[in-house]
Amino acid sequence: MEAAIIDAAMDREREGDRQVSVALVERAVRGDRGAFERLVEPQLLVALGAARLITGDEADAADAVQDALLKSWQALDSLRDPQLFRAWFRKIVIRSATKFVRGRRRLVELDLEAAGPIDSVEREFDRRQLARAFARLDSKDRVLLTLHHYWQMPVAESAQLLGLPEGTVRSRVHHALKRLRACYDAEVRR
Amino acid sequence: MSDRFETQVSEMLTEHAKVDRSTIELARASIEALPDRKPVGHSGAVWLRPGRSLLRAPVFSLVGVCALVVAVVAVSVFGRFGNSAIARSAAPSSAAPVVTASPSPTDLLMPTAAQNTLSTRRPTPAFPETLPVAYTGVNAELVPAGWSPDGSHFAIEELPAAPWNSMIHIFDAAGVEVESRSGLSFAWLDTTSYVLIRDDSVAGVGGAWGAYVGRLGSTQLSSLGSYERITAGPSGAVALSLPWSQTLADPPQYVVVSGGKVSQPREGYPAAWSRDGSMLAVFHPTQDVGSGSAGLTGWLEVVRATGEHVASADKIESDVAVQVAFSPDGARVAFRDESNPTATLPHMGVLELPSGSLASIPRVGSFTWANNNELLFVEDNTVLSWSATTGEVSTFGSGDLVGASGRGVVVVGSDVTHRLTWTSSAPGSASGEFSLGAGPWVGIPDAAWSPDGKSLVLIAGDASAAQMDAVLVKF
Repeated sequence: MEAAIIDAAMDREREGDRQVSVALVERAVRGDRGAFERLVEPQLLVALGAARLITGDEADAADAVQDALLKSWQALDSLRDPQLFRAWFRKIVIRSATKFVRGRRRLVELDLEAAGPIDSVEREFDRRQLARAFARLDSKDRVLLTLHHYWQMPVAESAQLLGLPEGTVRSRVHHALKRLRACYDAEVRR
Repeated sequence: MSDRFETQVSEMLTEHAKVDRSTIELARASIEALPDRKPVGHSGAVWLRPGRSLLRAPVFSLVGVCALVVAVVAVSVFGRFGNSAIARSAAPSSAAPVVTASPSPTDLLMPTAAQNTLSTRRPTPAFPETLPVAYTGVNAELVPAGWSPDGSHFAIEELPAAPWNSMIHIFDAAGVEVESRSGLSFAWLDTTSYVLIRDDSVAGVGGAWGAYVGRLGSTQLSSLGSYERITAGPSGAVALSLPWSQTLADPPQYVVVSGGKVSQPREGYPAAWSRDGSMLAVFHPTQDVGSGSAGLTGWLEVVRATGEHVASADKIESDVAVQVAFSPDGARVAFRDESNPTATLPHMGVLELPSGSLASIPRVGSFTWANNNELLFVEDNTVLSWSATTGEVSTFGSGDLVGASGRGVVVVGSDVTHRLTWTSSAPGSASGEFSLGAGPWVGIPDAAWSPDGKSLVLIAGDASAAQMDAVLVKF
């Protein structure tokens, strides 16, 4: 049920992104706060989710997204192609979230108690071990896995966002998954 | 990686990405609380800002002043070449690798008769390749590790899932494997000797990485000490990074290995060598990286191999890695810069040497120098060309990856279609097309080109492939 809600939100967000008009961005550039709110509203839930995964803390995620909102609001006129608003805003979110981690210099701690209903005790146990393993990764790996396995971002798009060749992104995602697998195996052995 | 595991990862992330409704409301409220933004027209974005002097640029801030002061101090303290000659070692050679305390410069230059066990097997390609396959890796990532300065040999790193089993494979110019070594990373010192880093811990536990010098045809390895990273240039220039805690309390340090000698440690994080090995670009972090880091913030300095300062660019930032490339003649350095937090894509800075004047190119992906004056980069599946002479950007071709020999050959292609086209600006210029069975994996790195620019090692494969082919391309 929860996953379905998230999926629906993501669908709405994707649909909303397709409908972003040049006029909306240009109105926001001229200082129209309502237009800016309409631009970012479809992004908020997934932006907060990604920031939470990267920072490992809900309060930090809220701060990171607020930081991203402020930066994007102030820098809207540097956005050359209004149709790229979603990618542009998401990049700012990712960078704000990673800077929070960098500033705090600590391992993230996913709130395991916050996990929702689960199918079985065994599955819940697995998921918690996997969450602990994810928390042990550095934020570079967390960003990659968040892009690919939470945002379901195509390689081409994340390559664009990160400014890397697609092959390099594939390689790094692959190795991030391998490191997660190794951390997960270590958690299982504990 | 199994699909089931990836599904579990997606489910876990979706579960743990949830936030309270109050947090969402807080974010919405923060939009209403945004300060008024100064109304401006939608700027037609300045594409290029070439030729800006670092000293005149607004970015030349207190950080830059401090950086230069630090640079002067660093050069004066660490800049002199240490001349701590590597002590002579005994030169036994046996079937099993022998590790001695330290290598001899003489040993590096005068290899003994070959005693290696040659492996000349021709692999069965993983894909239906139309080009010669030098090696096929199974359940491992292959990465080109550079050509010897005379172009007689090249190396490939094979990195399987268990890192302590990583291997370095060395081939002759025809693609026949001549020997292999256990190691994580590799670089050529000259035409016959090399340095490699390997994991000396037992079954990967302990993280004891050490650098060793070896020689073609000899099983002997001589220890250089504990180092964790190699930065190598095509001429045999090598910098070794000491283990770094990623905090400013313990600044990164490196040594230069040259002429059979190891310099005293110098501060910085080596990024790239000039083609002739006379200059090294070094990154100086100004913020802790820490265990949860996503990137680096600091400034870039170009130093001579002997340590003297040449030029610098302040306030560089990268989300992923320090990416730096010298033009073939060493007169310019291009670097990735994400110090503008609101840029859609990273910027590229181009530093003129030795003047230190700086040009900036927004929206840049991966990049390579086609020649001394032309920088190629990829954006939106298009290869663009930036002219250092005019500062103008033009379309070079279509593709999502580009590689250049720096000696006239440029390869453009797609790691989706696996088709690549090449052009040569050399006398009697030619062009052509070829395909790989997959990939190319890791694109077309500079280390894949032979010194004369006439050969290229590419890796066919992708993350999901259980096998990868190392393919040799001749132009």
